Amino acid sequence: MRLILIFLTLIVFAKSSFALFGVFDKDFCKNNPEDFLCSTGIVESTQKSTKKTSTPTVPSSTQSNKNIKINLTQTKTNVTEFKPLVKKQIKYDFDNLYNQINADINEAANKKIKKKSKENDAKRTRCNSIKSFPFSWKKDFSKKYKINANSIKFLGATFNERISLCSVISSSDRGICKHWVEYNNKAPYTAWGILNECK
Amino acid sequence: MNVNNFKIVLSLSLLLSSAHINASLKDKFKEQKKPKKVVISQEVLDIRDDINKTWNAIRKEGNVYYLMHAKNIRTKSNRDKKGIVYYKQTVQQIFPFALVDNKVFVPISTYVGKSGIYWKGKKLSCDTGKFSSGRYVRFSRPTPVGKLNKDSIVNFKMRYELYDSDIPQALSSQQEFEVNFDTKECFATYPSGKDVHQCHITTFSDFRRKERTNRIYNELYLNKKNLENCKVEN
Repeated sequence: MRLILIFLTLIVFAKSSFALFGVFDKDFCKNNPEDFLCSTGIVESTQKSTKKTSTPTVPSSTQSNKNIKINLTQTKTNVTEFKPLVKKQIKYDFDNLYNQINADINEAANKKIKKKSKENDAKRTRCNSIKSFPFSWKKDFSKKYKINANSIKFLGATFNERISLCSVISSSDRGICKHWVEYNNKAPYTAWGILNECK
Repeated sequence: MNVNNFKIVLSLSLLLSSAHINASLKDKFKEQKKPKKVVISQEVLDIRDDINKTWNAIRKEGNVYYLMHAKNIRTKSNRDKKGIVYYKQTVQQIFPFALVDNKVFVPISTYVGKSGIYWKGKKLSCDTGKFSSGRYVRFSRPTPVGKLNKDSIVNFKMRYELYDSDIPQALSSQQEFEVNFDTKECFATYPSGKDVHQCHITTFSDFRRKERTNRIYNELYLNKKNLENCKVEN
């Protein structure tokens, strides 16, 4: 009895070893469905695992036709779905950015207008206060145009808002002349240059 | 104290004082060599991060283009050559812009000085001293110029920059532009405003001038350099 048991154990051990090393052919379980190794799944599982690594078998003619048909359908679908310009997904709030940056630009422009207006007010006051030519102006002007300084007479001054300059009109031996007076952009807005324009 | 003792004391004091001067200069030199710790306020860093995040979003979610005078195109091949466009070596009359979420933004480069710039309602100003010191802060604002209409056409006012490596310095309204993003057609007026010429748009990648586009991309950020002299006002 003991000998029979040892013999049976040896057979099982030998079969499972063969199965594990892939000795059994692929149709072993088909031919021997009632075999212990097949019923317990030892051989099948081993065959399955060997299938993965084995080279793929060539499909029959009907199978390959079926595969080609599927591939063609897939390609056709891809072609019809293809779009040359893919619209990117928008996550950032660009509407808000658009409005905020425009508001920033307007804010900066408004501040600039206010600053310019303040400067012009001060320059206008300066310009309107001119009642006569300072001696240094007369001296430089007469020297440049080689005229008698005493002949220079002040006729009036007006402020030009657009170019932020004071226009002073004079009459002299040189005739009627216009003198563009430029002021500093900071308080106390003193005059720093004169551009003479004679006809 | 006799004369000899006085001489000894005097020479010793001279030696000690010279040694002290040497030591102090050495220390001063060492101090100079130490890397100065740059302190930037958190508010300034937050603005910088937001500016950079905005440009990143524009680049990621939109497309960046060049708009140029059509005279920059050397030859335009036929359909057989897959519509490849060749550009002249020196491209002039050009500016970059971004199209994102049907809105057109043009980067306008400006220096952040004492008078400051506005970013989302906050004022960022930098006291960087004289311009020649090299401590200036440059900022490129994504300036909105127009929105696409239902026909994918946008009209806006701008002016060309001289070279393809330049970012516009000011939003000038000298020239009118009309771009159709469906047909890729582009038309613009001359600064005189009389005649109309054809212009051309291309993506940065299609323009194939990597070093120049990289340079522009680098200027679309506000970097950390010189920001220690900046402050934020609400």
